[in-house]
Amino acid sequence: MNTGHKVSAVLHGGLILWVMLFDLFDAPDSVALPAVTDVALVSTEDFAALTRPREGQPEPESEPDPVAEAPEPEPEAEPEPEPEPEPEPEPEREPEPEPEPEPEPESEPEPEPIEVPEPTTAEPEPEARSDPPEAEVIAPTPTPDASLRPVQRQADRVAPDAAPEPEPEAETAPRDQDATDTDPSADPAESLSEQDETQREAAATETVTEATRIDEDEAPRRTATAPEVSMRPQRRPDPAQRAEDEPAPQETAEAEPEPEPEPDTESEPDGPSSDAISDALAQALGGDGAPDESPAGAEDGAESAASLSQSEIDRLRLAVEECWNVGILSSDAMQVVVTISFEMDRDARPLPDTITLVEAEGGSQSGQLAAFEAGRRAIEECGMNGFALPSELYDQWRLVEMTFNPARMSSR
Amino acid sequence: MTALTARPPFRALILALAALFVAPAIALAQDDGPLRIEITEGVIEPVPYAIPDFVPENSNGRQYAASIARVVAGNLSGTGLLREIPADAHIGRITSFDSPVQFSDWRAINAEALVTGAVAVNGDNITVKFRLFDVVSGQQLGDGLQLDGGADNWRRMAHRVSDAVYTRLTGEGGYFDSRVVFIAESGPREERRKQVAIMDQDGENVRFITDGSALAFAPRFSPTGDRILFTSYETGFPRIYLMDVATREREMIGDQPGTMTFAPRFSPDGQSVVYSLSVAGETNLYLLDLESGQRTQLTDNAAIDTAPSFSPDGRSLVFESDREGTSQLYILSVETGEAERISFGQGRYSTPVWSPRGDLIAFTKSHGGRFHIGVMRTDGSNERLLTASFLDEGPTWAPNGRVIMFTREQAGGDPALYSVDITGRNLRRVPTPGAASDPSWSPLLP
Repeated sequence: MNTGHKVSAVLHGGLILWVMLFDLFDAPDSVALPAVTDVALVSTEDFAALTRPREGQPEPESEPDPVAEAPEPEPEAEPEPEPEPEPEPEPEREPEPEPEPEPEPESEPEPEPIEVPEPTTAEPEPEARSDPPEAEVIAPTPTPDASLRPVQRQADRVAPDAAPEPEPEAETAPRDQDATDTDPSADPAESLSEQDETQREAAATETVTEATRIDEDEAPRRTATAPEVSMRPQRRPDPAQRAEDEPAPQETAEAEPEPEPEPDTESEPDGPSSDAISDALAQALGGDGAPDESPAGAEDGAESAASLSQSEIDRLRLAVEECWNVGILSSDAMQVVVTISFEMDRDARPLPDTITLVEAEGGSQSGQLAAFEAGRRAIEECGMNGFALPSELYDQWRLVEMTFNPARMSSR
Repeated sequence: MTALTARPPFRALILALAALFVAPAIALAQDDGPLRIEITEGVIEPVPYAIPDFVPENSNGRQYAASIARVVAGNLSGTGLLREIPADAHIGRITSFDSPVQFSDWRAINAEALVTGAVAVNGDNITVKFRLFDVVSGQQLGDGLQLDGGADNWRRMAHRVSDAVYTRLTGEGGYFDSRVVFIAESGPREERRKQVAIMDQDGENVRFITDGSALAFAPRFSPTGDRILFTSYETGFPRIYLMDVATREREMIGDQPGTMTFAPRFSPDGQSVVYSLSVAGETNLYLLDLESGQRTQLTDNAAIDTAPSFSPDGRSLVFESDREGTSQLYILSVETGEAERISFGQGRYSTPVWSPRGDLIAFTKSHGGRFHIGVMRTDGSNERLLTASFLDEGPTWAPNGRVIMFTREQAGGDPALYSVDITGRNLRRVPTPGAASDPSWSPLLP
């Protein structure tokens, strides 16, 4: 027993010393900490707004400038404070955000929305428009926090709204508005409701009638509930990157089995990578190699260990759904369930000649034809630039069979 | 960092285990066939299309080349299902009807459909031909079409082109080559002048077919579109008249005893007229054979039965009645004479009209101080309200059963005609020269 106690004491002591000297338990924490860093997003405009004052800092920081500039905004502020009791922050902030934050979400062109909020006072508007050059000078006068806020809002609002708007180039609005403009002879609320309707019909995912209004959250709901698509690395990460990425796979390995196939393909380094390179070379040199390569399956056999993840399949499904326009279909065509098959080249672009009708159920012949063409348009239109699919799994998505079932849409 | 370097062996072990157990499972789950995906969610938005001016094939065709294209564009865009890309955004030019189309030019402006056409005028005859292309696939949709006729009918040709394009894109028949008969109103309210007028469905070519000397209302087209029924106060009491559209000849139909006869409508075969007759305080439905003049009473009760409308097969008709207290909708079997109530929602239902497809019934509903145009199935289920206003009433179906036209009157304003898709979208006012009410849509013209 004594020897046993001694051995135990020695081992425990050694263990304690090892822990204290080599930071056995501190190491993981210290590792995890550096992985999490706070990052502030700064847009290019934000950055430009920050850099400009620095270049001219000597001028505004020499306080006579704000004093000299003060008389300029003050006369503007004097007429304004009467209706609006906040004179000081307004003249300072107005010149900066005027063109940007408030009007932009409504419409892209900057100058037009400005006229809407301040239509009554004609004088401050030209001053405000002439201000932008002054705004650069005035900006540094308030505290840095105050100057940053409007700029950050501007960046946030521009990013999400500007992207979808450029598409509706066609100006159908005048025609719709003519119809609705004639209504408001009586009820302004009536006219507003009809204007809403004409707006919705351009991008509605559900039927919105004048009688039954649906919350505006309906459209976003679908995208919100849609499965999120997580990007997967297409190529093997470097060993150094792999070491840095270690904490992440440990945390998500159980929830997402997807990353596991990737290391598997990585574990077979020579096959896929060399094949991918040879494919790229063949495509670059051969030109039309894409359709010809479709039947080739020898190289695909080496990749059979991996498979398309559900998120990748969902991504393809969502991409087609975005282009599947059923608004034009007749009620008869909306009764038709069509199954369409097609092949894709290695760039994940559908091959038009391979798009064929496999099966059509329900509806009349003309309805089936219209339903097929709507599905074909969705496939071709959204696949024109290639779907987002992993090239190394080409054999698994080369041939696709899509069933378009409008039952859920017909009830909207 | 030292700890990180010590982990790869463990990670490799985990990955190896995953490769052993997980990867085979995934591989087994794969299907050797095609990747199968079901699409159940789509978008509802107008299809962008382009329709450049038609190509004039001779000098006389120039005056119609642009006009016909504009009429077609107005029709197609007016459906709300298609959206025209304006001409100033076009990159490609159609200079010859037979030259191949550069689809890349039209894809660049995001057009999904392209309509091209040509016009030639020889003397009083005009020849219009057109083609429809799917820009995305670069293929022609269906066969091209050529129409010949009198030059003064160029608008009808444009409507026929519109119908052909619409049918090819949507899979259902068009409704552009049709007319609407309505009541044109003018003058002060206390001395209202109400005339029966006919116009093209797009509001063009308005013609008055009564002189307005007597109040007229409730005009109804015959199934063939060549005759019109309407009610007039010409004798001091409301009486039903039948008018030939071409000759404008008119006559009071049958023997009309009682104080009022009103709400006439043709049977599907055009041989009979169903209407309401008010006698001794009771208003019932009657069926009049136009050939023999024989009158048959369809309902018999102390309530007000009115606004009858036949089903397309002629076996049933829907009408409104207050026999149970408030105005509701009933389906009457012509054979058995039994009526069955189909409306059970809150409010009052009136002016039902059976869809030419036979699947829906359009109606007016008043509830909560608002008027609605709605549709329901013939058994009363799936009621959907399409509009809401101070006063909406009197729906009429387009020949294809896709669009409903009705009368809308704002508080203190004049009545006007509106149309709405049966989905409730694309509510728009139908242009009329003045106040208008009580529309009735004709079938497609022969």
